[in-house]
Amino acid sequence: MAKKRLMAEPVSPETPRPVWREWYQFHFPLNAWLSIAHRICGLISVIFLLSGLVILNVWILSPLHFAEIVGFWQGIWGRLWLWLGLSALLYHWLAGLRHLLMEHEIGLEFLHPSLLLKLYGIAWLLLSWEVWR
Amino acid sequence: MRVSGLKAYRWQRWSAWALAVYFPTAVAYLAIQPVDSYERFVQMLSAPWFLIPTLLVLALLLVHMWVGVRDVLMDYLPALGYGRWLYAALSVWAVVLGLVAADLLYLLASLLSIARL
Repeated sequence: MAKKRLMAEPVSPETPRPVWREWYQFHFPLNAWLSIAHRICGLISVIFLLSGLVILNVWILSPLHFAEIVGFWQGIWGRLWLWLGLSALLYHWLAGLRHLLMEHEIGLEFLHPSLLLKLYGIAWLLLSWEVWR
Repeated sequence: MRVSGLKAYRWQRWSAWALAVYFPTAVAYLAIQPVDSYERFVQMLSAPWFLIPTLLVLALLLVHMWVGVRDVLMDYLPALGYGRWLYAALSVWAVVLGLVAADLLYLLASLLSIARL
């Protein structure tokens, strides 16, 4: 089994500064995983919002297609698109709010990473129920 | 030229606060007042109390997206060995956001003319 190394540990005495290494060998704390997930969900949200802008264009500029788009959202692909996009956006929003509160030192005693995961789990279940019911 | 990430960081934080407040408010409103027809949709979007905060938030959303994706590109492209593509990637992203801003302005003009009819 490969030995887990800390990020700041030098690779060898000849190269005392940390260098780019295999990310899967690093042992990240939970906060780091939440932060990585915040970035990934942010990128998914960007794609979701840009595709949403295309739908908004059709919605505003083509009144005749209004019912078709409502129908798209009630179909499986529309629901899947909405569910994936809103799930990412919800996580990005919650994790971002946590970052903001931590920076302003508001409610630090409640901002444990496990609380974020619990809150997200509950909100995600509600969102999934609302999208798929 | 003195380069600092502080300005981008501040814009990212201020836009994040605006989005943190706007999104749940908009979701709560849409849950109470669902949009079930085109007329209702146009009426809601063109109402000043909805339109003005939404335009402000959309402008801040563009700023938030610019800084967020810019940071991702700056962090990962050089680390993956594609540093020489950084300025090209940033330029493409700036053009995309410029087109989005232009499209939003066009939608705004169209919406206002539809609402007047």
